[in-house]
Amino acid sequence: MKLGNNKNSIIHMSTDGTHSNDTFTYKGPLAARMACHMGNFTPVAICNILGDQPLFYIDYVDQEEADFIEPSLAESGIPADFFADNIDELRRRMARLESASQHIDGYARENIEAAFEAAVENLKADPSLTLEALEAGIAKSNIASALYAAAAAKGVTLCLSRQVDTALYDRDQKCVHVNPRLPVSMATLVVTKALRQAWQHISGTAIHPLHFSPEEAVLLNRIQQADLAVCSVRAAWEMNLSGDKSAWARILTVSSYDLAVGFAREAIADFRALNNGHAGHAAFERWFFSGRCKDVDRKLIQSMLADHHGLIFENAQVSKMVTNDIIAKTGELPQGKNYLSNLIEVILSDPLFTEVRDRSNANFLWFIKFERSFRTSEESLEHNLQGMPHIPAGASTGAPTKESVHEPASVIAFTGKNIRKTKAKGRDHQGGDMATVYYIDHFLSLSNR
Amino acid sequence: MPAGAYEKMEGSKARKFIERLNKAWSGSPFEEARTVVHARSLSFAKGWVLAEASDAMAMPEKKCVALDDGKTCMPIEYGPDFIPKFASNQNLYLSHETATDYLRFWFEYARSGTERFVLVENLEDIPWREEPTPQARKSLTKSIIPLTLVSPSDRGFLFKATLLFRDTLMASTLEVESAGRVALKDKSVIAESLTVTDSLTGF
Repeated sequence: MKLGNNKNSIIHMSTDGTHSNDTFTYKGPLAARMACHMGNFTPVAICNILGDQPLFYIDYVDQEEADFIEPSLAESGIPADFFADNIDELRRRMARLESASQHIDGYARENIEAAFEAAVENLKADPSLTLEALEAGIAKSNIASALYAAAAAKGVTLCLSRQVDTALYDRDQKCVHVNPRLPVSMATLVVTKALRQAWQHISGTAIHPLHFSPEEAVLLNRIQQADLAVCSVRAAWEMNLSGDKSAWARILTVSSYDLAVGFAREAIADFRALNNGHAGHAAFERWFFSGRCKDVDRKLIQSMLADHHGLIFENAQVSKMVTNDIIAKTGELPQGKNYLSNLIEVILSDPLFTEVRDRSNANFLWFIKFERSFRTSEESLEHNLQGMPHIPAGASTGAPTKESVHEPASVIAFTGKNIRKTKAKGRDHQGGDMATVYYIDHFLSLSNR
Repeated sequence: MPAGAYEKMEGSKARKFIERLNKAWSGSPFEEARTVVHARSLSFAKGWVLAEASDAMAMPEKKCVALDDGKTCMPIEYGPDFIPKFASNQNLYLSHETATDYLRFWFEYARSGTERFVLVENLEDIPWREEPTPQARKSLTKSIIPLTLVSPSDRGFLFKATLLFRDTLMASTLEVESAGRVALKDKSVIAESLTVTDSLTGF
């Protein structure tokens, strides 16, 4: 296709669209001119009439938008503008869409100064939550009530305590502590988070990330935190659908707009997205797109630096394998499909999930890994030294002693990483991995310090 | 123990503190072997320390903040009443020097329903979810007024401070009364819609 540029071009056409000698000369106003080449047909150019109206209207509809507007039509292959001539149907669709969009756009931001005044006033009052009211709040959300039912079946109870800031799952006591100062809807929101932790505990996935090697620890910690956020967002959405809008309004208007919109968009487009995991996955991905990773990474790395734990899985392969299993199990829900099970490979390979993007965190993580590998090497060396025969003091400086000259050097089997195989090759030894005399001298000088 | 700086509590001191804490704590008891205790003395309450016990090996992490005088241990209650009650019962000592420390303590643990007032003395006090641009950082740094004693008032001391309320940074005037009550007087919005972590939900 090419555009003509001559105002007086003669345009030929035939009724069946093929070239013919019956020509028609269009002399009307020309806004644009076009010549069409019909593949390999000859002659090359066959022209159509062009006027001040477009030759054709672009009926292109963005597929994602079409799915959002009418997913059932998208699935059935019927174009989204199927009802284009049916005004009543169009009106119904508009009303439905407007109603759906109210879940996202219908929440005006609260006047912050008025909210501040109200908060100052509340400093004088101390409203008290009751367990009955909290249970009624939990019943408004399917995910919250399912988590509560699963936890209750294992003996987990709810209790009120002012000694926790919001809500805390105490796994030794099998109790979720909730601060009674919170209004019911907000208490439900934070309790859902705590109940999710209880669920993870019951299902065996509440393993502390510091039990893993640093890379897996960072990934697992992120996934655990993102999972809690996803569950809270889902609970808020379900409460919103039940008519209790305050928790959803809080999430949408304060700081978690990104997660809420990602979740709501999927849930509005298809209500099945709640149970098939699409909505949860959308919010999960958005969590990783945000800067939340940096925050949770920093806290975890601080714990690593404090060194509260030793590594349980010393073997990196075992650590990785267990991490995969735990990630797969973390996405399980008491209701609906596991929203992470199909994404394990993506999560493990995509830098969006695994990369430590913040430079400061990355530097600290590198330092931790270096320090741990150094410590492991040292421990391994010390362990090997304990089985070593008595070495005369002179050997510590590397000076040849009488014994070391006349007797063959003691060779220690060494399974650490820094193995000098090249020197050991020529020796008569049982295995392939042998340390050299150079190392022995080095150990001695270290041990004599 | 210097006021303001946390120090790790170890040995018999830590053991005795954990024993006292377990009697007052509503959750499961802290195990001595797994619990790390950090404490600092409080300049406005003589003989009292603010101690934080945490069991980082537990999943989720178990943490308790408590006030302790060596005989009595009181876990902090997150609400509007606890600190004024403590202040009235323990002969709060407020002066030009100690009032600032008291205000920091109050902002850390006082809660109003779902809300929390975060005292912002520099940009790093803001729990950023997304880091601000260098231009925004520069502009905000200029706008932040650290906690500053303005003058004594009839009932106590007047302060100026910058607070983070939800996602809004505000300049505010505060009055600390000698009995420990804190009144937030006036406020003006410095910046709205900051991308911060919600203190309630934690994400």
